[in-house]
Amino acid sequence: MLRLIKIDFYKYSKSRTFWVLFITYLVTMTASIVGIEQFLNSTMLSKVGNDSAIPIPKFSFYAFPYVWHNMAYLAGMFKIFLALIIVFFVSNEFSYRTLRQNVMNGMSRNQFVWSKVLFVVLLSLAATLILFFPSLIMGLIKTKELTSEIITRKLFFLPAYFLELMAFGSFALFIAFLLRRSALAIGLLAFYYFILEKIIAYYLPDNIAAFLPVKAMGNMIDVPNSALMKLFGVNFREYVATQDILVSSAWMIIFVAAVFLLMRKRDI
Amino acid sequence: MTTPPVLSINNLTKYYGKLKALDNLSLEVFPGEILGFLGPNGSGKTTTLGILLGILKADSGTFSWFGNPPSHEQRKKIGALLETPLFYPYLSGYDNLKIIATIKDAPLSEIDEVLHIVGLEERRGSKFKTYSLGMKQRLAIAAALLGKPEVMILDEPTNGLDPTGIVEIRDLIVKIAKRGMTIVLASHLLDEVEKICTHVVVLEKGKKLHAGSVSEVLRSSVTIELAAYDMEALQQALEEEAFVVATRPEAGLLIVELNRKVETSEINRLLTNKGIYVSHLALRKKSLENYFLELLTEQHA
Ligand SMILES: Nc1ncnc2c1ncn2[C@@H]1O[C@H](COP(=O)(O)OP(=O)(O)OP(=O)(O)O)[C@@H](O)[C@H]1O
Ligand SMILES: [Mg+2]
Repeated sequence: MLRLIKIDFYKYSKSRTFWVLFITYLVTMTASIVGIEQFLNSTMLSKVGNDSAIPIPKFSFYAFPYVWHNMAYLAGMFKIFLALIIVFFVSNEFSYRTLRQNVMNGMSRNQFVWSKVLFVVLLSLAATLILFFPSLIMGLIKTKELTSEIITRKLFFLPAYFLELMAFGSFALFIAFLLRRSALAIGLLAFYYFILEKIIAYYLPDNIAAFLPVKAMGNMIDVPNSALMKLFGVNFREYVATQDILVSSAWMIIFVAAVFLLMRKRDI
Repeated sequence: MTTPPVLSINNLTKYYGKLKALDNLSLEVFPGEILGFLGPNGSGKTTTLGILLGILKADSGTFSWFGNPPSHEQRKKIGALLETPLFYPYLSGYDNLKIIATIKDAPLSEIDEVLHIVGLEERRGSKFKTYSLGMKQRLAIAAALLGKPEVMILDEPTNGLDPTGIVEIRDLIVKIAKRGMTIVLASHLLDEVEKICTHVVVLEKGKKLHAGSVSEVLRSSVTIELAAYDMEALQQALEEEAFVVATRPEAGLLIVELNRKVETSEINRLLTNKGIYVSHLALRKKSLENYFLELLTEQHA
């Protein structure tokens, strides 16, 4: 396994494209986490004005333990970007025909698939850390009374976020292995994510639509409750539902298994 | 007792959709052989080699390396070059070989050795996409040499090389072969094959037309070329002789195949007795190229 990671490290560590994409993600994510509260409050105020009839409560996102939920939800909106990195680099192995080269030099087809699964794992891990550190720092700055209990109370949103990325990354992996061309695969992924599944979901009853892959992965971390929403009496889930964990894990396993199956019989 | 084959192929068949690219191909390659794998464009050479390297899946038939069913571990001991060089364009030649060495479990110290062998050490740090076609091909050969392979599969290794490069690669192959390595070489450069190979296999439309040793092929018959004022009379006179197998006109000459070695002076005397005076008479050394063309025309006749 270490050898597989080493091989992929050699492939990506000197790719400019990889680092440009990765650092763009890192910077965008960190800036979003640090700036989201300020941003929402100022747009809110400029819309409603200071002299509205009811006092609009300001957003405050960073207090422990809520920061984990708030920021994990925010980060979840950027997962399509990570999926595009996966699709891009996996389909390049087909278009450069380096998959052929890897296999004829002694990699088994399964090892090749494992190396890409590991790529998804490591990328998801990195993204989880990119969520963890800025959130931790913002929480430490903005929380009045710090106790270790309050810091860790809702930390389970991090593994949930990791699972969301793993499941979505497996979906991206599957599409890349299926279509083998980056433009096509990126197009299909974006089309399914932004349009197709929403149309399908529209025609299905809600409890069945919850089993659709993107929906299930997105449901895992529900919209956080803000003071404003409480004002309107809306109340979202503040925990991670077991059903969403199971459905997302099932999709993850299905997508990865499908990739292994695709690679069994095919010419490469 | 005979030594077991390095490679044996049994009844391989491969379809691309409806097209039958390989038709029940069977073949054996023994240790130390340098096998020329010949055939016109589209005859199935690359398809065969792709199957042997685990890249393409055959529809039926089997093959074995060193007497064992195929596995990825075996491929680490096969140096392969298939059709076109396949590398990561944004990585340097050295970094590309690093990936391959890691896949093959070969020490990284071998990389500089193989780069030296193919004469690329000066450009080891340049990105692959900046290489010329010939340099790419050399890098592919370097990659094939990594891991001290016991067998090499080379699909048109001199593709894109300049004349000096072709000679260098030929000498390189001869050098490798002298270490006792077994080589399968697909190439359209027949005089290269003739100079290097010990054995040949000829494919056409996925079928094996012929397999044998090169010396056998070149020894199998003797060919002479003649010219005279009256070419028809010449042809008639020769076809009466028992030692003549076949005659055919070619570019103002008459090409005659004999079933045994007959001295040219003897032929000259025979013809003079028949009142035919030749203006040209020479023994033609049979080349692989002639043999190859004959084989294919026979097939179509
Ligand atoms: N991926 C493919 N899809 C469909 N047909 C293919 C594919 N690859 C090869 N073929 C067909 O299979 C046949 C054998 O092709 P192959 O590449 O093995 O020939 P070759 O002997 O290597 O030819 P060349 O001397 O031109 O390299 C050809 O008719 C070719 O058109
Ligand atoms: Mg070919």
